[in-house]
Amino acid sequence: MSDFQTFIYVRIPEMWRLALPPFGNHMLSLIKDTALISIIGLNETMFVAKQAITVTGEPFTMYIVVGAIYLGFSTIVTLFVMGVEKFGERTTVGAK
Amino acid sequence: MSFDLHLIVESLPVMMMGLGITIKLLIISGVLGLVLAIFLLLMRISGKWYLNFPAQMYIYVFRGTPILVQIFIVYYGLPQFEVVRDSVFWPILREPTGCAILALSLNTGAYVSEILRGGVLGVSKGLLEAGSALGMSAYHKFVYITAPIATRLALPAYSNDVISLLKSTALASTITIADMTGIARTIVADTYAPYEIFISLAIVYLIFTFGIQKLFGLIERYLGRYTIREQPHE
Repeated sequence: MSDFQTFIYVRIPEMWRLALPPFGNHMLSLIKDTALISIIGLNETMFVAKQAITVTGEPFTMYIVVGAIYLGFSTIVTLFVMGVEKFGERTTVGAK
Repeated sequence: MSFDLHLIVESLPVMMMGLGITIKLLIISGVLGLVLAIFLLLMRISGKWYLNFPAQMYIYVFRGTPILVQIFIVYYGLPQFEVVRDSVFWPILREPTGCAILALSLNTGAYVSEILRGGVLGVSKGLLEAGSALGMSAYHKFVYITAPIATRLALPAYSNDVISLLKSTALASTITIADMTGIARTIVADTYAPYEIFISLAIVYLIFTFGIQKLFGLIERYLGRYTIREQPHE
């Protein structure tokens, strides 16, 4: 096999399985860091919550809701990554 | 646009006045977080579901939500309740510094307990079996075998967490605390020179991070002084 072929047919199939768990963790921290964008005034969840608070005057309720949204988001990503991990290991079961 | 070096020289000492607050936030929430993490760890490895489950839920919630949301819930959210304002904790929760320390400790505790758990799980079973063979109690095994080895194993990951805690302290500036970032933001609002100020701020954090890394490197070397390296890395 050529270098290119070994990369495509050997390295990548082995590599993505190993890289998946840290990649999943990184996705989670990226999702959480999106909350920081509200500081520079982008109209995202956190920013909308701030605006809602100026109307309702209930910061706790609003921020808990934001927290719940993020928690739901990270749960979905975690489950998805777990699913993909399982898919990646379907041929290695029993080989450990 | 020109790069004003003079402004950097002028504003660095002003930013350094916030260094004390940054260090204070880092050390206090680092220590409180570590204590919390040890409690959570003991709950998780206790083997009793009514201790393990709450700890797991706590870790899930605090690792699944952004630290900014946690800081805002503590600082803006909690005073919504009469009970909180009447409680004995109010003098702490009224101050932004107290809120930042509370939120950072709660957050870092969740992360650190997972790191410590990784260390505890890394202790090889044979050592614990040897401990049992010598008639050591569960408590003695934990204190004399698991704890020292787990500390050594968890240290590299822990130093990463201390560094990310340092970077999280910058978020304290969003709740009006005049730490380094807070002061930098004030200077930027005065001078309209975000480049100079924020780049020099970034360099200060970089130096700080480097210092922490070196410090933990020394501690790692000290704790690993009895371990034999099979392959020298140098």
